Amino acid sequence: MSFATTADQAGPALPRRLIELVPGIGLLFIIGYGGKLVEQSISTYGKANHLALPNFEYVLWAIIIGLVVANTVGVPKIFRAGVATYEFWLKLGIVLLGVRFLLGDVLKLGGISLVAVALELGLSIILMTWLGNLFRLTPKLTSLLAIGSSICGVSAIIAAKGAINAKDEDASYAIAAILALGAVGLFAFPVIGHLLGMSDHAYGLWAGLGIDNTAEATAAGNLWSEQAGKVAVLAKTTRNATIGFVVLAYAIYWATRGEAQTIANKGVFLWQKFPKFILGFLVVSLLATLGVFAKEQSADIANLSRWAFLLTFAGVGLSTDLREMRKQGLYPFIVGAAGELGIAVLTLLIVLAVQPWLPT
Amino acid sequence: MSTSEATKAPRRPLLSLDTWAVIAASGLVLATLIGTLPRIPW
Repeated sequence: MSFATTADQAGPALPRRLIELVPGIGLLFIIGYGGKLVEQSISTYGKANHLALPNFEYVLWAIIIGLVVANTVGVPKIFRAGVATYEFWLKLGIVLLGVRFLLGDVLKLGGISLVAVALELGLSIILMTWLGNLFRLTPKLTSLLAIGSSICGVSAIIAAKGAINAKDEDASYAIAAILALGAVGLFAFPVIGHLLGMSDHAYGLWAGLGIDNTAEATAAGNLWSEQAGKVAVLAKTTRNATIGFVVLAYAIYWATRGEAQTIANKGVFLWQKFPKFILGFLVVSLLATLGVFAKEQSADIANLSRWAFLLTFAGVGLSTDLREMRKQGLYPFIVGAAGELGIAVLTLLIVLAVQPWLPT
Repeated sequence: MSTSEATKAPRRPLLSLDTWAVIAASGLVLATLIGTLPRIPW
């Protein structure tokens, strides 16, 4: 990650690297805040003129502005390092969002999510593997697509790439397909959700299960409502928590075929791959449950989480390069698209099945 | 993250992105608790 300190860069270089992030973070803020202003302006205009205008959350505007900038004028080099921090803001936002969850709710919703995730994992791996074989993709590209679509997109593909000795090219294909399809899902899920008249909880669970990249799943949830955004984050982080287990299973599979290194200590491997920000989220949620925060303090922390997400959503738009996606091959994209469509339908059926246990 | 950035040979990070996020969140939570952070409305 662009601003993580590295062994050879620690020391005097760090302040300079942090300063390099400022322009891009400024751009994230301007675009995110621009989205917020558009939402407020439409709402104010509607009220002033007694018009019932549809309320599109700022999330949509921030992503659209970012997409337009990235795919027309492009993102100049001076901004790129800062723009790449959007994943940091996403994780910071999720940790702080813990203040809005009581631990009991996390365990209850997380438990329902876990059952749904287990079903989603199994079904999507089977579906992707079948499609990959059908279109004669390389077995490792198929593995990467299956891992990316079943768990958490880009992070899972990067984690798996090293573990199964996959080629850079295969990883690039898989990442491009997952990101392109995530962008489609981001806009398609709310429309389908409205057509089906889904509740906040059901829609949030569907977005968290069906959309692969955490940033896009969070954005899709928040596009619907803040409550749906919370549920989407919870379902998605439950999926993320399984990353180590699935990557380990694939690593063992490829190691037994002599095409990947054997993993000596599986416990250490699982800990290394576990997304640690989830622990931060649980600790903040525990503190909130124990009543450590006064009401105003909880509200302040929740607001900080919203600001962190505002930067994230601008970054999602700015980082979606449609031209680069067009350069990727057609078959991986077809496999990815068919697989994602199948997974969207499967996860929708799962959500409808567990709906009786969801809060209303 | 672009596709090409994501597939470059990994550097050896001293702190992962997750750790940075948890450290920053801890700082913000602590600052809110002791009241040193100005109130930021949404």
